Amino acid sequence: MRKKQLLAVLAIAWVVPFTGGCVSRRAPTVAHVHIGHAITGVHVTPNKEGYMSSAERRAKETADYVSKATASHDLAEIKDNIALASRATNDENTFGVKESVVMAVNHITFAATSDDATLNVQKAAPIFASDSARVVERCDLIGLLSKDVAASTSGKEASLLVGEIAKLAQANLNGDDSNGDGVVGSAPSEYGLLQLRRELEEVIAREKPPYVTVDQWYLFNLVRLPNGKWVFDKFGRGGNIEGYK
Amino acid sequence: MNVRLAAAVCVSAALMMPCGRPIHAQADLHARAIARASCQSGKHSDAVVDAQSAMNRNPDDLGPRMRLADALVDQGCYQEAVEILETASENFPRNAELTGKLRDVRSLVTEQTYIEGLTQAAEGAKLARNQLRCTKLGDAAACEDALRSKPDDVQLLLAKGDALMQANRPAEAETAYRHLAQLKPGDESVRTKLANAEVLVAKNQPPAPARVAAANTVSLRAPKVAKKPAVVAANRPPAPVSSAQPNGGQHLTATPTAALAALSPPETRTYSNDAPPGQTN
Repeated sequence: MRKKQLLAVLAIAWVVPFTGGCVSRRAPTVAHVHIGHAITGVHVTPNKEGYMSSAERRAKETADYVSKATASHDLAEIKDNIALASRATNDENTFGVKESVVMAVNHITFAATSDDATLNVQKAAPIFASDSARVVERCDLIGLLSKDVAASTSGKEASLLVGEIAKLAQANLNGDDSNGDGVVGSAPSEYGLLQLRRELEEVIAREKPPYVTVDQWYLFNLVRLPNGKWVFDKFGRGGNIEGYK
Repeated sequence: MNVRLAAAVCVSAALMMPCGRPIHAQADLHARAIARASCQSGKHSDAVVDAQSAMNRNPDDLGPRMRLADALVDQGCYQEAVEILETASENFPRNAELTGKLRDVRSLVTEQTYIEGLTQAAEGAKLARNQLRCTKLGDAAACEDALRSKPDDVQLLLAKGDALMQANRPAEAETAYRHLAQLKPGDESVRTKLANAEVLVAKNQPPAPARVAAANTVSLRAPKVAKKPAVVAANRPPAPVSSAQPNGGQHLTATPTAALAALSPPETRTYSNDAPPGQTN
């Protein structure tokens, strides 16, 4: 009888950690989960990648389409590639560069509002938000110039506009040197995604307790209650609660 | 029991929101925008004034500081509220309510700054697009839009003038060049462009009835040179100087600007044989 009880206890002890979506790892802070959404993964993006990763991938796609447009001498082909580049930059539904960056900023801001946010995160959030503005502005400009390319009837005009879009697409990836000091990305007004990523890495490097990569279960199951509190969904529905998607 | 449990699960699930996309209530944003405008007006609400007085009376108490911060937040003065709370947190570093409030208000500052940043980014992109089209593509409409933001931008004014000349709209080009000439009075190339525009304007002007009459009456006394553009006049042999000539025909060859001056209203008067030169009839 005792042996049966002991076996039952052992079985429960082995099973309990895996029920209800629990994981054996200790729960991260809510602030760190939000940071994880910005840099590691989130359930709404196409590949469940973090918003910054999504922005970087889409920015690379933009640069690739613009390169094709630059290489072409056919106006129709130029227009097609620029339309794709514009979508990769500004389409909200497919997490274009702009949407992804805005969402990354939102989640860093969420992190700063969490009850367990460190002073480091609270102070870094407004700086990150402000520093991302240049990338957003370039996205807006790519959108406007893309419309001009679509309306263009002259190959010469289209080529000039594509050249400008190409500079903007590269700057969104790596930053630029608009102040002419010889250093790319030396000021926030020159920042691209490379510098923004570095800024986030510096924020998490300063975290105490240290930031560790957040487990996927926590990344995908953080929900907000109507009272504004953030909690983990014990049912492990991956954020896909019916009616709220 | 199972039904109750299921109902509880359903209710709790319905109350939860996924955090993938933040939901910003429009009404909330609108209320904040109104509050912000109220703060920017510079006039504090009665609640802020009262709370300020209470804080001044009890500078070491936390309560009045918190109330002042709340009143400032209600008026949209988030940064001022943060400063009040940060000062308080130096005296009450372990107060949980204060720490939480400070965190929330800092977040409002972030949000406000970010929304302003997005708006500025959109405006900056429009300006950059218009500058590009103006200076690189000679798009006069884009120049016009860009100059609304930067009315004294030399490059834009020059590009606008050039674009309008190209579009055969010399009168508007003349206005742009004239503005540019005021900004760069010593620039010879600007003066030349202005003069060329003036000549074209003069050339395109339909002859006024008075001028026709003047031409008919003056023709007996002086050659009709005033209506000719300077470039044409310059190619002709020099006309004999006549004291009877109101403006001196040879002056038109000096600069195109002089050509316009010769046509400007004070000098385009109607003369009769009875009246001395320079006097209207």
